[in-house]
Amino acid sequence: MTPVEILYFVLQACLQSLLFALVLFRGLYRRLPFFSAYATVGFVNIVLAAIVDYHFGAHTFPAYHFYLWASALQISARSLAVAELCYDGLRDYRGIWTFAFRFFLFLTAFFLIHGAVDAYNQKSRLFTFAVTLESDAGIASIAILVALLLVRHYYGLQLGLLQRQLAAGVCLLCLMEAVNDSVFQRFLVRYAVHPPWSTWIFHVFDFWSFIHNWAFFIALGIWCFALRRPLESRAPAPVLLAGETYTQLSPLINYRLRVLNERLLGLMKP
Amino acid sequence: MSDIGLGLLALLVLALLLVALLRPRRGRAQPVQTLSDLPVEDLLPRHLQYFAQVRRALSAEDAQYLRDRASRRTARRALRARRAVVRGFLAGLLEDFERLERLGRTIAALSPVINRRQEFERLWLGARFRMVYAVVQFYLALGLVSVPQLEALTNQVGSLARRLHDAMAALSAASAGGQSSQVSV
Repeated sequence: MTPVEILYFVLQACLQSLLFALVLFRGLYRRLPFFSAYATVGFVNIVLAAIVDYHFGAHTFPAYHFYLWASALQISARSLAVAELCYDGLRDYRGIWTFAFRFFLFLTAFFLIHGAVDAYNQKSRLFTFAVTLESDAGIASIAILVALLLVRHYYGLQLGLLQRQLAAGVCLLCLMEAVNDSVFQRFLVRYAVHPPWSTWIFHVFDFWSFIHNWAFFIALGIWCFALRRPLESRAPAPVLLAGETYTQLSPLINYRLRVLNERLLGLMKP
Repeated sequence: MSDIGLGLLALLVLALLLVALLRPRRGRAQPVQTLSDLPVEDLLPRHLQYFAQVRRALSAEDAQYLRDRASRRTARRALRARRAVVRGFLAGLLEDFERLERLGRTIAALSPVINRRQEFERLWLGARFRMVYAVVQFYLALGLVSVPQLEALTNQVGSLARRLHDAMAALSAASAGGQSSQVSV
């Protein structure tokens, strides 16, 4: 490992340990168990990575396999954490949750199928599927979180501060991984072997690696910052209306909105 | 390369949208927890009371009087002021429309079951109203909006306001008594 790699490793280990300690200390596992599991997976991975690197070396075959499996586990845990953030953000509003849930499922299915179709015609299907899936899981996570925020914004429901900060960290991480997998791993690697481009591309890789690493540290920092204070108690659940109130009022409000639209259109007629 | 460019552009748009949505909104009202929290007076249309002034601002007699008695410069300035009054009134109508929309959304948020078709329709109606509103403003700038058309629109909003006010009062009473009610708007 180079000195810079060691520095990054130590920094990541410190931040992952701090996050894990905060999750335990603040009792986040009681409120957001899947996000806590994701933080735990990150912590366990960094400990195991240190052991694997020590025994086998950093750039060896076992280390490479460990990295693949650890990444798969981390992506799965992160996807569950995103699903949990969505559920936690809308579960008090049963009607909206039922409505939004199908949309979230559709987005997830779309990106999974996209990964599979993309991998189907490739030489190394499993590797391509893994890389595409990592990228697609990142994009799907961002798309689902944006959808969650849009739904809440539309219905006038603001996300809690803790959830907002956790979502911001997840989004930053997913964004960087999506760019990393779709641009750097799949596209620039093809050109890196051509002599006129290779030197320039290696410089770009170095710069990107710097940004990628620091984005990860910033995401960890955002989560630690979100957990710096004891968790606020959950707001009381809203008192829902009787089912028939919606079925009676909503069509009538829509009818009136429709009529207003027609009248407004009428203003333009001579 | 174009695929990569498009992908990056999409990600950039998503990132900007996220930043906008994740920013805390200061001065925004707390989410509604119960029906009785709904500020009914704030949700119902309230710009209709100014229609008398708007009618006067748009009246043909007034315009004729200005043309006959005032200098060209003064008449032009007055015409500009009249258009500004109508534009302000239209902005008020948009605000009233948004209040109705918000009422619909709040009822949906507090409902245990919602209808997908109804929700998409409300979303579409809101978008359509805003688009037409922009075109109407353009028409107004050209002086193509007449008083009877504006009056018809205002009456429509007014009748809706009265009926919704009654319906909300009935709902609040039923909610306070812990029973369901038959409401007609």
